[in-house]
Amino acid sequence: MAAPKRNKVPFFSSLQTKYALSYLAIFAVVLLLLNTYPVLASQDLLFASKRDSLKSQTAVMSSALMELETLTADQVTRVMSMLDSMGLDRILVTDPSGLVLYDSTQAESGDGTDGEESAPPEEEPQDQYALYQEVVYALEGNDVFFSRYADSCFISTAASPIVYRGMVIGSIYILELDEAQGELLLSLQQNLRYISLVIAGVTLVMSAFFSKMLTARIAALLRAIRIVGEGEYGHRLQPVGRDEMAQLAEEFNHLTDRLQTTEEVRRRFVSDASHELKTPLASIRLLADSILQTDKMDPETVRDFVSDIGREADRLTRITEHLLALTRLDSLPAGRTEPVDLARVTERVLSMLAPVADAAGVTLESSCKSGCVVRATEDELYQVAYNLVENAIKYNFAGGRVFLSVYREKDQVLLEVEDTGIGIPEEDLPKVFNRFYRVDKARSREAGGTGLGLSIVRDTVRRHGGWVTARPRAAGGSIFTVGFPQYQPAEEEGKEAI
Amino acid sequence: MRRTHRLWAALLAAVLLLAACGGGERTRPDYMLYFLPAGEKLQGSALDWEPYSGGEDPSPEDLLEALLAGPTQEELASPFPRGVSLRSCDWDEEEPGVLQVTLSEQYGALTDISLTLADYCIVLTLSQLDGVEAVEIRSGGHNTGYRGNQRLQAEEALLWDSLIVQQVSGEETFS
Repeated sequence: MAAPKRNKVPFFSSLQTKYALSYLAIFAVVLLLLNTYPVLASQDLLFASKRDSLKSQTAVMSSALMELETLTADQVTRVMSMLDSMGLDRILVTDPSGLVLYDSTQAESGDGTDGEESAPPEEEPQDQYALYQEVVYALEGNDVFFSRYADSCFISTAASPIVYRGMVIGSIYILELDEAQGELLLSLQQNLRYISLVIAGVTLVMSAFFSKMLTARIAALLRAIRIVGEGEYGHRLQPVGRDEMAQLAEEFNHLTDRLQTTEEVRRRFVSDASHELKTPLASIRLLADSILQTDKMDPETVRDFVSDIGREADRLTRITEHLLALTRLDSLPAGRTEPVDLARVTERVLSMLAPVADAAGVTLESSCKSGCVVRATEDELYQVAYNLVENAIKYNFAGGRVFLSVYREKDQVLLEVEDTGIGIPEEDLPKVFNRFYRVDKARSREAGGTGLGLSIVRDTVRRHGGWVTARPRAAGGSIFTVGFPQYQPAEEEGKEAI
Repeated sequence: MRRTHRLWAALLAAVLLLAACGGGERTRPDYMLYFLPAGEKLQGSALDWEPYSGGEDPSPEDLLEALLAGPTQEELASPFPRGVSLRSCDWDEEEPGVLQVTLSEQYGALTDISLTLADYCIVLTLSQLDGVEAVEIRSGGHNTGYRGNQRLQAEEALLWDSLIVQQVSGEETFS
């Protein structure tokens, strides 16, 4: 048989890649959150803190300046020199038109407080107008705050109107460049980035390792299925651990066990059946050829040969009937069962086989207790008892005895067939129920046996939840015991009620 | 499989497009018309510009007419009151480099910071022309009384806080 075509699984469709990518995707999301949320939250906190701080500073300066009725450069410079710059990088005060009246950076450079002679300032126009959005909004009467984080520095600006008796007489604008907090946030960002890189590296290795580990077992299972599919039924997996994959491996092994057993039985059955069918056919062919090829054969011999052909044909018929019976037992579900009195069925069998026993010189005896009821079909129980008693007669000696008993033991009904016949060797006992198995083939054929009677008994008994055993009799012969669950009317009614 | 490839290709194209868009910066044209930003901008310069779309060598009148016509871009707004028109635009005969601009009376309605913004929209626009060193702006033939200095120069307008520019770009000056 040609091996099935196996397509190579594409890289991105393989389970290993999918598992690995799933792990990576999950960790990528986690790392993304790790790198964004803390930084954004810190930024927001710092923005809020700066807003409060700068707004309060502009409010203080604004309230100091609103004492002046009109703003002039000199007055503003005087007031501002009395105020602390509070770490701000620039403070601007403008009049209502945006003209800069005070610029803290120019005031500081003009002080020359360190005693050093400062470089002459570049030529700057006398008037300067602060055309910043913050100033414009402030001169329109609004408080403004703006902050952003750029180049590891918090750049924050705020502006407020200076109001005197309801009139906007100017604006104050402040700028803070906070590099310390910016550096702090940058170091937080960098630390998170390094941690993320380490986690990403570990995740990459782990995802490759775990996905490989998981898919290696799936690959082993796939390989095993292919090997078994190619006909090597003895191949087994070694379950590792106690997870679902281990269970899958165990189930696979059980399945393969059954497959192997079924295959062996099938092969043996086909081989045995072929052999059993071939033997009578060969005999028929031989006898027919002899009649055809022998000139002037006397009528007595022809009659004997034709009689033998008829006997072989009967044997073929029996074999095929038994094979059909076994096939039915294998494939068809049990027919409608009913409570059957086993004692009554065995009495019928005994009366049916009494002439056969008489002809063989075998005495039939029985002991059947009443109330031995089992749930089965009457025909099948009849077949079981018939096969056992017929065998006991066939493989007995003239003057021998067959003893049949039906009785109850605990919750079981037992049928026992004891004979004083040729018996079964100890080593053959486990095989007597196998199909086409015969202890003494010559005798079996001579007695008209097919080698299937006990197989039919075993399969029929099992079909009704029973069992059958064979054991040697101490004084010679064999004992076959069949057990069925005793029919319990109360239990059955309970089940029906449910 | 083919669908997956297409998805990857589309994703890559989108990333490249975003990268290309993100790196874009406005190139300065030869002449710019200064206006006010129209949106809710809280920080930065109070003036913005759009390119002058007229001829190659515009006269002061051309620039002023374009300025008074208002911005063509939606993100910009005009600083001038409705109905302002150009009366004249002449060079000062006594002081070369000084351009005297006379606008209609409606311009006189502007005061305080609104006036300053309008003034410097004109000054910054005209100062791009060769030879313009200062601009005098009159409304209906009169100087605006509450303006301290009538002769306005582009250098007087502080559009950006130099410390912020220095911090962000590392440059000493910003023009």
